[in-house]
Amino acid sequence: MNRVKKGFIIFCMTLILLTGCWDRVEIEDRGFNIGVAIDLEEQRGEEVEQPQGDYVFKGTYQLVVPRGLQQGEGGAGGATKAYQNLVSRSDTMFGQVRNLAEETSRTPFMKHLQLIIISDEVAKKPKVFANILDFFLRDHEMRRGINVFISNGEAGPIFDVDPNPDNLPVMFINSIAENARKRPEMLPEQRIGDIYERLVDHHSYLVPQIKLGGDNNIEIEGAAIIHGHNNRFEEFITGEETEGVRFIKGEYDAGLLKTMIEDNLVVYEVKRADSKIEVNTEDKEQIEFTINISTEGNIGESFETLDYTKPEVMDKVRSALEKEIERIAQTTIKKLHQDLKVDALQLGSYVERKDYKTWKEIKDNWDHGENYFAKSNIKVNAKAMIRTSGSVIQIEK
Amino acid sequence: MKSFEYGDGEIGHTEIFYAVASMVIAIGILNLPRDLAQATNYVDGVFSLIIAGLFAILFTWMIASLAAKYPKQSFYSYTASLISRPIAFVITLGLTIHFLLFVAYETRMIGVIAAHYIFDRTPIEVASFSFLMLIVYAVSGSHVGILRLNLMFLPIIVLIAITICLMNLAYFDTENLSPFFTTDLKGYWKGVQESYFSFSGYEILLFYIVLMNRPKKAPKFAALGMIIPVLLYATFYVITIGVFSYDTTQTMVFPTIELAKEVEVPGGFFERLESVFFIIWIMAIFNTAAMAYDVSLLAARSIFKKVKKKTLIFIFSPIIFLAAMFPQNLNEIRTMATYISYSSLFVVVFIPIVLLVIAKLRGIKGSE
Repeated sequence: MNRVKKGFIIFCMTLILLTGCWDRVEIEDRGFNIGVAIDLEEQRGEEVEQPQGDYVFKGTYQLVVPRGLQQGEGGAGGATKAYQNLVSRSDTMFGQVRNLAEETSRTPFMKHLQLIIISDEVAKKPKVFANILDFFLRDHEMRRGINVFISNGEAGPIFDVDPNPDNLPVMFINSIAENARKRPEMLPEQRIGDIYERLVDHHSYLVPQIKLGGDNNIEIEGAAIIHGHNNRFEEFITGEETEGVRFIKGEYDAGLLKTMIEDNLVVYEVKRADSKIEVNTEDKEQIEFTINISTEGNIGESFETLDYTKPEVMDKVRSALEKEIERIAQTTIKKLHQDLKVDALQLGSYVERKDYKTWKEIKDNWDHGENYFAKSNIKVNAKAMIRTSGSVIQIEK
Repeated sequence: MKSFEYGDGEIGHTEIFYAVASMVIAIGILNLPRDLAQATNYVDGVFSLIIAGLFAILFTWMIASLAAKYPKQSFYSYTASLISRPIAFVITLGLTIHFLLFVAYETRMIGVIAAHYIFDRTPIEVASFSFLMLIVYAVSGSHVGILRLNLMFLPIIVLIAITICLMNLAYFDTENLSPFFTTDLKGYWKGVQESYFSFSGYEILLFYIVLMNRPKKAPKFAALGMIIPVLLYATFYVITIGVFSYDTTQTMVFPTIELAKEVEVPGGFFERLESVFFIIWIMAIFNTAAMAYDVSLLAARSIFKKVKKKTLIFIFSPIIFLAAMFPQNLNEIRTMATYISYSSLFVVVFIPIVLLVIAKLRGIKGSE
């Protein structure tokens, strides 16, 4: 066979490859889904033959409209929105995503999903919170960095919030959530990967709260407590209680503390905070936790005229601050330990590391059933260090 | 006189070093963390892993010294001189089949992973088939070519793998590691077994040392080559447990891929680090599968001397493909992997010991 013939045969065979790629989807045809909000639609009552879940959920899916993104810069305010919210109803998440395809000209593409908001009403049903997240953990398109929130009230309308100065409500919410570094009343972002760990190890945990404020604003403050053994949402805690959680868990990044010295306010700017938790497991009926919180910071504002060069003044301010930190931490402990009896601080994991044998015995009755957590004692000590008084010692003399 | 020259059909000790490391780094790394976390508590699995690694290094050294005893002699020829021709024939044939199954397993896994994570709608058969064609192309060339490719690929693979580990340090939580030493002995032993299986593949030495020009150094460099995967796997294990905690690792199908997906580098191409991970991982599998296929050809040609290499490739490839497509689901693939691991254990432990003992007893010395 000569070379021409050979070449011709090979050429013909390459034609087979031209039938194309199975997975090709043009980028223009993809509907980039960046956020999901889940609400409860109805509860199933009567029995029907086909298999179905107990609840029907209403999912609001936010899709990006790239055209709107480009126009937004031109300044034609509100001409084209950069996003499109689609509503889909089904008893499964997979079903919802598949239903979306009926409504939009673009194939829903979940790889860029960034936010899941689940309404408190949904999360109150036992196990449902975990069931909803199952799809988002199982599907290979999803990543583990998706932020999860629980909404106080309906979740869907949150996606209609005015995202000024951003273009997309989901991105807007995520940017606000990042500010948790500056605001101790906000819980740090919970990624779906973190929650997955909690679903597996059954420790109770917290999920940041999101709610719609008065003027179509969103508020991210406080947190939702989820009980580990059945993944059921228990109650919201306030911003101050969240601050206490962050002090106790050593997740406090930066913030300010106010204290009264002689009827006037002194503001302490916390630059750094840390916590060490010691546990004594000698008596499993009365496990003792000692939480040592230590902070470092400056005087940020002082209404009281004080000479901060004097050690006794510093001591006075410091002990007032330490009392304040202890008060905040105690408020949180009272709520979680005495009122709700849910170990959302994950103190149980300290027992697990300190005394594995005892933990194995009590872990199934840790914060429910016999509730060894409720029987434990928690002590808090705080230490506040004041590094400087700022640029001035005092502004009046 | 130069001891080594490119272009000839011989290899030096560097190639052996790289060949062992490249051969062993393969599928094992994907699900090893899960198997190990199921057997042991918290980070204890890493001790099992290191013990298994020490065993693997010992066996590597043993195999290499057996093969190095008979320089320039093929496995079949020195086995035949030790334990009669028919038995040597059966053993060599068995090894051929063992390595063919090895290729089949790698081919199937590449199809499974590709179909799951990369090509949603492409059939596994097509993904596996294209991969197999690539392997066939590789083995059609010279043995030395494949071995030298390792020199290029392995540094890239190790570098990217370490990058992925370092990137994950941001999510690393030391609290997930302790308490230490809570596993019972049975758990440790199971962990040793699970990890040992992921270190199989170095039995290729039985056939590759023939190509060496100075085989005396082979045992040392082969054992050194084995250290790379042991350390790499141990690092990956500790990072996986630190990032996910051991309970969660148990529940993931491929924890290592999830680890690559965990990382998010802001902005641009590297935001999705798992794409880079898939590249290096496919490179690693390619090396492993190509060497395994190449060795099975070497083995087959030592017993069927008259058959041409091309003919053997034409006979073997459909067999590999059919064997690869035989398991119906992930569980059956795992069963297949377990069988291959057992036969590998037989190859690396039983055969060398018997041969070494017989060589001692009958006083047959190689040309040392």
